[in-house]
Amino acid sequence: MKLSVTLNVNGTNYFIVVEPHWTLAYVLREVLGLTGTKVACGTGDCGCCTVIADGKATLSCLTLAASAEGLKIETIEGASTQFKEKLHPIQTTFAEIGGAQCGFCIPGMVMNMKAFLEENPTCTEADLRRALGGNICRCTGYAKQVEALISARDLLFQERRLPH
Amino acid sequence: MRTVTEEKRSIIGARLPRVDSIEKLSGSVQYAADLKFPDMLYAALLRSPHPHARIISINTRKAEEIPGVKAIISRDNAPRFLFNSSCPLLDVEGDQVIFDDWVRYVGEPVAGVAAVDIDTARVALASIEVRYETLPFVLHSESAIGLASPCVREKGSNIAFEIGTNQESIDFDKAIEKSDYVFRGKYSTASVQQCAMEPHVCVSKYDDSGRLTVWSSTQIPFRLRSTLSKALGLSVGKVRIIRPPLGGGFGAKEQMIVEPYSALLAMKTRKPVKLEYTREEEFTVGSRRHACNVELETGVSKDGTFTARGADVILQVGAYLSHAPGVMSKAFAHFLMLYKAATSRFDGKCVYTNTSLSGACRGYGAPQIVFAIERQVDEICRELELDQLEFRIRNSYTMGDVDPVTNFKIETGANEASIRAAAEKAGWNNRFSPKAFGELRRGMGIARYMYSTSAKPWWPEASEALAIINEDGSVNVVTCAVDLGTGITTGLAQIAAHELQVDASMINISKESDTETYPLDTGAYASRTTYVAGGAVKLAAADARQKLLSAASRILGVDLDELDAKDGKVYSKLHHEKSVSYGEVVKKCRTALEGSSTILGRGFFEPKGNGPTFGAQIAEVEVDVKTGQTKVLRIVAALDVGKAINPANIEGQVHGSIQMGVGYALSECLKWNEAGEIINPSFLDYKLIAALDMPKIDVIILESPDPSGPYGAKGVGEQPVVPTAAAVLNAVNDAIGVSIRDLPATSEKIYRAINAQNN
Repeated sequence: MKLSVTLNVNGTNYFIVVEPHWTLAYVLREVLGLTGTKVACGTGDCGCCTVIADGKATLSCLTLAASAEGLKIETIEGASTQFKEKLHPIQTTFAEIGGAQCGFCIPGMVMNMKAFLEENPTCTEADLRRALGGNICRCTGYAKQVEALISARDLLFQERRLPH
Repeated sequence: MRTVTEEKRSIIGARLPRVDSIEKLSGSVQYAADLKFPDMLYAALLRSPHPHARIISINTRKAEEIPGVKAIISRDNAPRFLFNSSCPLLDVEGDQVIFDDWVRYVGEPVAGVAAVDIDTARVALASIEVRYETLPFVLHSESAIGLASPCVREKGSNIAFEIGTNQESIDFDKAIEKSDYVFRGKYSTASVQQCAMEPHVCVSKYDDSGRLTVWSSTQIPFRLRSTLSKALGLSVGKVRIIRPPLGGGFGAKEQMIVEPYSALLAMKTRKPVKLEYTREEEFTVGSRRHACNVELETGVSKDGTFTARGADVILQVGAYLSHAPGVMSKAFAHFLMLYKAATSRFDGKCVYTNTSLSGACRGYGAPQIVFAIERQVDEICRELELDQLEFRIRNSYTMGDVDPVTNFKIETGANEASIRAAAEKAGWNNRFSPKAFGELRRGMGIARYMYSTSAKPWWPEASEALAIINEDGSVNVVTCAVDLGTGITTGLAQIAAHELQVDASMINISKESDTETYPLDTGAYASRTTYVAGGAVKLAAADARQKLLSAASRILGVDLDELDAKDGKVYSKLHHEKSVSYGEVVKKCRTALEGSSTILGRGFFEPKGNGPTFGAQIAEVEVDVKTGQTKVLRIVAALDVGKAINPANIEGQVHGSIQMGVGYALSECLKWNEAGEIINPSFLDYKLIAALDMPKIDVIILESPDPSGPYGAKGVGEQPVVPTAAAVLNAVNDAIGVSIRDLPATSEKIYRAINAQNN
């Protein structure tokens, strides 16, 4: 049995036919060709597949594609569209400070932290580390990532406080 | 020797942002798992449920009838050429084939299916009928070594490989007898998984002319090509390995694991076939660090020097040899080079067991042996009330000594400096200030290492690179060096920029490897890439510079000696107005009527040593004596890198190593049940150190240049993981007075040890 669904991904509506058991991660990667979202465990333990659904960080490997209909889904491919250099401040600070090594965990981490910073603009380092608990990185020991996230938080927060 | 503190103006030593970070951050980089080809098939493997069995029959008829199934491979239709999955550079007799008549561990592949999608492939696996005759099996190396043990390989001994000193044990026994103090202890380390975030994955394609192309997440493209062609019975020139950007490796991808199955299915179907391991497969059959038991017998004299050092070491190999001889040889070398002794004895045995293959993992045998030795040194110093720092310094090899393994004179090394720098930063001398805070006890421990760079003297070392100047003065550096995520691509670009005196933005460097079109590089292992591939890039860029100067000399009519090259221009040192840009030189050379040429520099590098590195780490821990829960508060890591090409990337290597080392110390451990199955194959049940659990890390980079490396550089990538576990457990000993000798020291183990001490 196949299902017809409409998925809204990065502002575009996709009309697709899915198997009921297909996950959102599978559909993003295999059907829509949005391979920026990574799958490193498939069981919701590592955070590599994190996307944002209606503003909330969501594990796309544990989300059935059919159940994502009606949600506004944002993937790494759409993370930076509103920023002028086509990079979100998290991406800019990660590049400057060296927060990405092999890079495989990065799309999920950027999406999780993007959602987190939106909701917690005044978070502390300990808050950031706790929030990173769902993102496994084997390369960096999280040191430069936390440093970059603090810097990104400050950039985002300052921008918001600037008079328009 | 000096400490790197401030940014230098040279590009060598600059914190240049990584040349590949934007595509990784934007998600546009294409890893092997992201590749998709028209008509691509998906593969899955059927695995043995038994730790040891003979295959009686395999019936694939039902599976073949499933719509969408395109090919099935098994021992009934696969070639049987022996190979060693470590892809050795030298000829080594293999001990495995793609599919055998026996299975020797739970999870060993029995058949493979290629189908139009992964669901169909997995459904088909369930329809394959295999009849087994189960056989006796053995899981633990201590049991496997016994005479009454079942044979892992059906016949012959379970001792797969042995190495040791030729020292008469009678001399050693005499030296022990004469020693003022003798220390004996058994230490053991667990088997842990490398846990690269990108699983093993490859796509194979076989064309009608008989050429096989494999896009693989491998650390060793050229070595993989050699072993894969051997396993399949193909000519090396017919096999092409393309290595897309890699999502981590840590040694797990220095092994041929997925490629033969995908290649064979591609050869059967003439369609591209993708095989990607699941996380469960990564944990159960995707390589792991060798579990190791070490028995030390050590004599110490009253004046605090070693009189005799002996070790009996057993490595749990798994069912096939793979990297075991190399890992044991490395453990042997590290045993010898860690401390001097009048007499040394080493006996190393690699033991087959009916468990999945072990392989290369950051540190390659050193973390195991260094854990044992540095734990014992801690015990010795406590027992004899010797100074932990001075004892280590006094007994270490240092600059001017002869390396006991290579017999090379040691021409580099900040051993004492690394120990003293770490101690100063950590506040070692004040460590006895109040240690108890309610139920919490704090302690500090130190451990050190000496670690050679590259696989010399066991293997030859060689890398080649090209530097091509383009008509606009930009540069292409072509190298097959593999960046696992370390940032080495950026380091190599810095080397080329320095040699050619151009801005780093002018350098375009290979971000993937291709064995058909790129020059030789044997891969990313043994912390060799800066040292060996860096040497090749340096020579290639210098060669291109020389060619630029020669051509400019003809163009400008100026003597070669008078010329210099800087900022993309060749100019006369006497008359600065006489100059020509790199791009102009290239254009004139290409279009010269007589003797047109390109400006292509070539570099081949073979180091004249093996760059000994030194380092020390000090851990500060806090143990809750009520629960055993232990937190590593801080690690100070001092390391001698020879010359820091990019300090930010070096810090990244240290940070990641410490995440791995603290996990090795406290939580990481693969567990088997009595049926031979791994029972914790997920990130939920196999605990990695998370962001909140990470200690504060201070990195102290020391530079004691090695004349054999580019600008004096030595290896960095593996070293920082080597001493961490010992430093942490030495700190636990300091905190609670309990010496834990087997890893991992989980909260439960520490809790029990505290209770045993109290009762």
